[in-house]
Amino acid sequence: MGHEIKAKSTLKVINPEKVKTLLMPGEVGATIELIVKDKDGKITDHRGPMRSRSFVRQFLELLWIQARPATTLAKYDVRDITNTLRSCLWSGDAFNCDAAIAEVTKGVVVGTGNTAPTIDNYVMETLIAHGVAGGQLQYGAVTFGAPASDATTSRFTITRDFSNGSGGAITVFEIGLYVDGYDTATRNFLAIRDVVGGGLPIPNGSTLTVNYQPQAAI
Amino acid sequence: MLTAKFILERFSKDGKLLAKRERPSRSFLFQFIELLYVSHSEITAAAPYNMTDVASVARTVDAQWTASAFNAKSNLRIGGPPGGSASYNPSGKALNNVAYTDQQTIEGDRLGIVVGTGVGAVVPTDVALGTRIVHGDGAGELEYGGCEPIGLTIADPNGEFTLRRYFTNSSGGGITVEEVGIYSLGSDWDGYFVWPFAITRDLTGGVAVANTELLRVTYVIQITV
Repeated sequence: MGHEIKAKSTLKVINPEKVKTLLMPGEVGATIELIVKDKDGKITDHRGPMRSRSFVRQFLELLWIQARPATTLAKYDVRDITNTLRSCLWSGDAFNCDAAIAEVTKGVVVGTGNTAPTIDNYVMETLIAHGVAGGQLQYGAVTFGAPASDATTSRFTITRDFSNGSGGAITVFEIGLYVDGYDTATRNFLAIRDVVGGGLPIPNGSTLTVNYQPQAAI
Repeated sequence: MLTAKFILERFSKDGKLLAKRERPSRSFLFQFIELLYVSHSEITAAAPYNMTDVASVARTVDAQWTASAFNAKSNLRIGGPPGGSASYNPSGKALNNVAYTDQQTIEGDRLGIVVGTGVGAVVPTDVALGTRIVHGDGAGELEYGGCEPIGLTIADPNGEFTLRRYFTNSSGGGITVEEVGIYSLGSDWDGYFVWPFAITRDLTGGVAVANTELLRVTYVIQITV
């Protein structure tokens, strides 16, 4: 006996500004928004905001170091982006991701690796270097939007632009956040890593803007 | 994502477990996001960020004296001493990360896990418990033990650590704990000040702690990839 399913589909474009939160009550996390603009500033691709899935272990370890706190008498080993264990202690440098132009060891970073994140990731799989040569993107400075709160959600924004002057298209598959920690010098640690399903092509002459928005929902 | 749960366990004076209650924490507050913002954005002493402390007083907070100064800094500290003791907390003023000079004291019952009797609904902009129970053995008071961060473990896809504190009722009467929370620190290099800020607040549904009983409050903070 055959069945006929009748349904009327509706497709709506939701203004991202009206998306209150993607987090469940009690969650602290981040959302990612990806915007590609051509050389004239016209938006050609816009994804998200969507849930960032992947605080990795270094985020929790740096929080642990500040929370405990880890002093010179009780340092804690954390693996940096060079795959070196660093005996870290509490510091004003912890979690700093205020990167300058061209700085690829701090702040929002992008890459071409597409392996799913694990909690033990300590570095981007295949970081895209800063520059205008083939396969490179020009990293802008990281900027911040101040914290704000509504009835359920607290948030702030971390933003970085990546311009493609390489002469060819580049597909971004992974996005991450590098932050500072301190042992006897500033070290760099992976705090967040996410993979973009299917990749995000950045045509030559276009700019990718990444908005990470750390949030807490009640 | 980062989440937390809290566990309330009531013990007799002989250490016998009398009751246990476990709930998801729903309530990381605005101040937690603000402290993360201060750290992520490298707020410096020249242009500090304004926050509201647990006494509802506006305070300036920074992450560093100047960009790329590495001084010891007590921002986001949670672990603390017993309620009758003081913790010593660097503001980042000292240029020597080892000496830890220029510190500010914070009492143990204003740092780490705290409990109270307030029953008002939680909103993100709560800056303190509704009515915090202070440390002591007088009427309506509980004796705060140390707040212990313990047990950091990572096993893909999860990671977690635990915060734990004992509260002893020596007040001579029963006390009902209606709310629990975590107070963490923020600091200001310029005046080498350190203040407590509320980063979580949760309602318990009411846990009656009789005289001589102990209450153990445990927060488990978790991330999952």
